[in-house]
Order: sequence, then structure tokens, then C-alpha cells
Amino acid sequence: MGLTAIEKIISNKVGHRVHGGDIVTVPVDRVMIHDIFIPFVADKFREMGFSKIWDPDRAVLIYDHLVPASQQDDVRHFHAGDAFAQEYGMAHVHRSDGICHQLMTEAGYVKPGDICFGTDSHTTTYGCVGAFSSGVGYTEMAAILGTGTMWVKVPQTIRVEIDGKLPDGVTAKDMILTLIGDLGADGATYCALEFAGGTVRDLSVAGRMTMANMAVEAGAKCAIFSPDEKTAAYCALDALTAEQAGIFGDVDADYVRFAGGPRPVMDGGAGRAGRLRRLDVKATAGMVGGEGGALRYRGEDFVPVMACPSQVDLIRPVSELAGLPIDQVFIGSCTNGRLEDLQAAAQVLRGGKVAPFVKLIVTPASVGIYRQAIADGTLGILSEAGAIITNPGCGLCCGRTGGILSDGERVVATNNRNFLGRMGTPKVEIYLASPVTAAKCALEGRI
Amino acid sequence: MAKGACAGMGFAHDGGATGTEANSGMGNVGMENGNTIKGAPVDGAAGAGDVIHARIWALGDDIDTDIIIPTEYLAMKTVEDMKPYAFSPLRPELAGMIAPGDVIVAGKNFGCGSSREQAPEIIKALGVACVVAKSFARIFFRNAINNGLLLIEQGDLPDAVREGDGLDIVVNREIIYRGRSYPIAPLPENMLDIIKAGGLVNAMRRKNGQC
Repeated sequence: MGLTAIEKIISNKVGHRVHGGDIVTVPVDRVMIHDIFIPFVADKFREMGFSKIWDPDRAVLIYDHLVPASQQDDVRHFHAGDAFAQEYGMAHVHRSDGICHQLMTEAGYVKPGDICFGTDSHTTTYGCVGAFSSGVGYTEMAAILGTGTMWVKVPQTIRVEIDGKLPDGVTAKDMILTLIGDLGADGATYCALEFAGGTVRDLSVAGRMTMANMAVEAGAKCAIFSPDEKTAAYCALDALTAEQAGIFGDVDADYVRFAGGPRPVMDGGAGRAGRLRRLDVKATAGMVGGEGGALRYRGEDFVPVMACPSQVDLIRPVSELAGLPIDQVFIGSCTNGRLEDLQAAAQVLRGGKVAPFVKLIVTPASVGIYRQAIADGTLGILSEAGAIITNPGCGLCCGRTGGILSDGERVVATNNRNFLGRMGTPKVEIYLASPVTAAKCALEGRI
Repeated sequence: MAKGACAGMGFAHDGGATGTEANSGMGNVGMENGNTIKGAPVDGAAGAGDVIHARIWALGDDIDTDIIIPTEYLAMKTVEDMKPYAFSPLRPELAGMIAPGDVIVAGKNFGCGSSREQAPEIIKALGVACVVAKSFARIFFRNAINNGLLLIEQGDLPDAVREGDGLDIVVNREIIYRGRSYPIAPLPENMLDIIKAGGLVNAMRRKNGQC
């Protein structure tokens, strides 16, 4: 029996073959701690009695949720972080450079085949470059900082194969939202989501980031894209090593099996009625890779979709929601705040104007993206169209900075969660969509 | 666990009821070899090959964290205060009947639901030596190990057991029930060390010579 991509990464690290369900202790290549949790990590680290970080160069501290501070208490987190970094010799501290999940790959901290942990659920993002990465709590993070190791239960893998060409205006965001609708918000719990197929290979690393980022919204522990030449270029590698190039799922690996495949969303898929059902049986040799061995999609079947209030797995085609008036549009976040997202929005908005009474808030994911988007004219176009452009960071996605909404308001947003109250009061309706869809909504003033 | 304290598995405050007393009359089978522990796996118990004799409490599939401890009791000051309400939505009498050293055997997806760490803490506070289930929910699994509660995944045993029967767990090897052996996947030694120490924070404190 072969191995899944994640089983290969962990096997390479521990020096023997592992399979889904095994429990092993893994060496950790990189950790990320953000501003929200650093005070608690620091407390636990000291309580555990550690006097040094196992390797300070492998730890990265990023302030993003609270930058710039919007409440007096936020500042305490910066001081706690700075004190911890200084005491234990951490050089990699980003105080106003952008969102943690963008910076970890953009600044070269994560490479294909690495094992990474972060104090944030969207740490699944680094699967975009072929790394195993997952979120942990602050107690576990403190233990990793002290030891450089962590125990993991090797996840079972759900393989998703997508082949064919996406229709115009359909993006990676529409694919991952559709998949979340098919699986349900807990459908991939404890599993790895392994993406493969021609459509996925055609995606940029930015598009892969969007999909890996949202894997956790289906409950997944991690997501994984096989590294290829695009990955190598993005990670500034001359070439992939043999080990890195070997990170792909074998056809005869033991994948999670399903009773039947997905139905196109226009046909009632991605709704509760069409939700996929996992089979509680292990695949047997000879059967794997056959029906049920992978979830297979045709690129041509995808349409622009939205996650409707207030469930991330309540997915409907945009065409069914058309006409609903909106109050605000948010384009940004670790899901969709990258240059190609801003460019896609600018293409829609070029020469046009945001509808009256609609606020369009644009938040680049990092300072690097911000500068590129200035240089290539993207931010100019967005500004001309009436966008409010904010500093890089988590921004409105975590409901802490400018743009929070109030009762009865409706927002179309490109981030990853539409939980009750996330972007203002609990009576705000949050619709999640791609940057293309969001920009069109901003022009029209309605979905 | 109080900051600065470095106790073991935290049974000391359970009124002194030892597993041996609690299990009297349960008809436990004596083991010929290995480090035999009756009932509560006190500090130092859960080493590979050690044997735990225990009485079974049988539960079904999908025992969620709201069953283990309903939200209305989460605001109580300590886990000790919450303990009497464990499993109350399902079996209000259960918490009072579980004796230190007993085991819970359940179906699939044990511990599903919220991330509340009180769920494994309360089961541990009741003195449960170990939870055996067909499968565990992810967050509960991590919280349990990191709080020092031994969990064992076994697919066949839950369908075979009868509540009140005894069983023998040979840590990291097998479960023996009614003369039949049910194999179990081994946990790495360093994970057993976490459980032995009473959780991750204590394990790290020990490692650093803090206790």
C-alpha cells in the first residue's frame, strides 16, 4: 500500500513509514505565534520551567490581529511579545508587516516538506507549498518552543481531484467553498485534504493558499498541494529536492472513502441534501483509488458561490442570491488579500464606481503586496473606484478594526468565516465570496 | 492543577478511595506477570506493559462534550465542583457511581463537540483510569492526553462489553476481556510520560527539573 502526501512528509521526518491513525512525535521545522496568543504562550513557557527556546531562529512572532491597536488592552500583547522575543533571542518578529499566514510563506519561513505549527486555526495555509502545518493551542506551543517536537496523530487523508478548466469569473475560492458545502463544516474533521488534478496544477500558489487556508472550515487538520515548479519559484528554491518532489499521494494509498461522489452545485450539491457521506470502512488493497477513493470534480461544473449567513457550509450559487442589497464589501484577509485577488477586483472595478451607500474596504495581506499593488497601479484603480484602502493586517476579518457593521446590515466579504457577530453585531449578515464576486457586488450595490 | 504544584495524576483529592477498595467484589483476574496495578493508575502507572484491572462503564456513540459536562456547569469554580454533573444529560446517576480506577468503554466519536478542556479533566477527576472507544474527536483527544487522561482506540471491544464486567488493560499491548485479547496500538513512550506526569505542563516541568 502506498502513502498519502502527508504520510510521506511525516515518514520522511521520523525515519519510518507512518500511516493515518499512527501517533508519532515529530521534529518541528517552524512555528508561528501571533499577537493574540503570545502573552499566554509566554506564561505557559515559563510555568513549564524552560530557560531557552530550542532554536530561536525557527520561531516567528507576528503581530497582525491587533495592528494598529484599536483597544487599550491590545498594547499589552505587543509589550509581552517584545519582552519574550528579547529574553529568549527571537530575531524573527514582524510588528506591522501583514498577516501571519501570508508572511510565513512570503518571507520564506516555510518550505516544501516542512512540519509547522502555529497558534491559529488557519495555519493549514502552508499546505499551499507542500508543508504539513496545523494549528495548536498556546500550551502545546509553549511545549514545542521548549522541545522542538510535538506529538501528532497522523491524519487520514481525503483526496480531492479536480480536472478541467474553470469557467470565467470562477476562482479557487469558489472551489473551496463548494467543497466545504459538500463535506459540511465537520466533514473533514481530523483529516488531511489532499488536492490534485489538472485544475489544481494550473492554480497559482496564491490560489492554492486560498484553498489550503479554508480547509480548516471543513474541520481539516491540514491541507496539502504537491510541490511543483511554481512552488519552487514561489519559495525561491533553485529546484525541488528529490524528497520534496516526491510529496504526492500514491494512487494505492489508503484514502477516506465516500458513499458516492459530489454533485454539481447547480444540481443541488453543496447543500445539506447533497452532503457527502463518509464510509466508515478502510479501503482494501485493490479497491483504493477506485470509486470512493477520491472526490472527483470537473472544473467546468464550478460556478460562483457564496457561503450564506451564518454558516460557512451553507453554500449557494450567486445566481440564486442575486438582487439582495448590500451595505459593505470587504476584500482582504489571509484567504483573499493577495496581489492577484486585488488585481482581479481592480479588473472588475476599473473605470467604474462603487455603488452609492456601499463601503468597499480593501486590506492587502502584507506590506509586500501593498507595495506591489501600488507599483502596478492596482491600488490606484481601486481608489479611483471609491475603495477605502487600509493598512495590511487581519483588519475587518476578525472584527476589530475599521468597518464593523451593525444590526440588519449585509456584507459581502472575501475572508474565511461568517460566524455570528464576527464583523460586528450578531445581526449582521455575512456572505463569503471570491474577490471577483465581491467586486461585482460593490459595483452593483447588490449581490 | 495549581501553578507550582507538580502532583501526579491528581487522584489524591478523591477522598482516599483507592482503586483496590473501589473494585472489591469486582472479580478482577490476577495477572501472572508485569507490573500489576489494581484500579486507579496512580502516579507512575501507565508504563508500557503495566496492567490495569478495571470495571467497565459502557456508553454509546457520539458522547459529546455537552453530555460529559453541560455548559451550565462550566462556570463553577473547580473541576471538583463540576464532577457530580458529569454525563448528567445522559445518565444523571453515573457520576456518583463511577469509582476511581473504573474505565469507560464507548462507541465512535467520543468527546465530539466543543474544545472545553474541562471534559477530559472531569473524567480524570472522577478517577477514570482510561477511556476506550472506537474513535475520539480530535480536540478532545489532544486535550485528554495533554491533561493526563489515558485514551485507547479499539474498534471491536465496545460492541462486545457488558457494563459492570471487569477487563484487563495491558498498557500499549492489549485489552483482555472474557478471555479474549483485543490488540491496541501503542502510544510512544514520551506520550505515556505526559500521561504519567498528569499532563503536558507537568511533563515539561519534570523534564526541566522543576519538581
